[in-house]
Amino acid sequence: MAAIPFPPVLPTGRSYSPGRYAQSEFQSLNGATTILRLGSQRHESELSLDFDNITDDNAALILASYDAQNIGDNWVQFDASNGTAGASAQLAAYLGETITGLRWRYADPPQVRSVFPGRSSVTVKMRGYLDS
Amino acid sequence: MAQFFSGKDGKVTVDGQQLGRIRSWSFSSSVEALEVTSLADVARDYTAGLKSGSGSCTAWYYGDAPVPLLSKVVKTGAATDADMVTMTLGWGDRAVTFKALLTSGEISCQVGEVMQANLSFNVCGDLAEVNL
Repeated sequence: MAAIPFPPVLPTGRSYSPGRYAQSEFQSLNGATTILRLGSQRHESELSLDFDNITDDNAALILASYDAQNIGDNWVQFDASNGTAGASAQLAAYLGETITGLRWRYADPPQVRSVFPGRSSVTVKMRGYLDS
Repeated sequence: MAQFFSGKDGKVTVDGQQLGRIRSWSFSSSVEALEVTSLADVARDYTAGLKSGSGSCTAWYYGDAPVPLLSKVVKTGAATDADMVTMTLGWGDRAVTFKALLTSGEISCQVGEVMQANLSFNVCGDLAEVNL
């Protein structure tokens, strides 16, 4: 298991969800709710990246990253040259999950859509896992 | 004095046969702009996508002048690939040649005027020859 840098391809769109804190909720008969916090760290954050009209070579780099992450049960790291491009340092810390220790893995296989000879659009969905 | 072209220099050739009594023609060519703006950019960026072309011509209904084109779109039965024509729009010794699919044909008749046919077409595939 090792960290694998995401290929240097700049996204054209991005959405992020920080995930949840582990907790259980109990609701009594009178409607009162008790919440038991089971952990102090977020988990299952989500990062969706769009790469519109990129070159086919860059699309292939993303597919190779998917293979590399799965073959060795590795995880993916993002920085300003790829997934966190254009974000401030504070936000990039969340997008890269450098402050939580969550590890980005592919939640789904990358979706590649060919749009023009030599050009493709790729959608990547990542999930941040809290490794034991 | 620089050479200039005027309406008398224009001509339309369909499948190697020049049409008579053409009143006007126009041609438009465009290139699709594929957006490649990344999240690290501060201005929109584009790369070249698919080309497309279309045009129209108006022919006086004088003898059978518009019939070779009009018959491709004003007809009984379904239109087929056989209705595509090789069209050359010329002016002087310049010309643009392409395969065209007739997309509309309009015949108009008005008191005191010679009948005319308005025809529109789309370019199929790449331009075969360009001499601007």
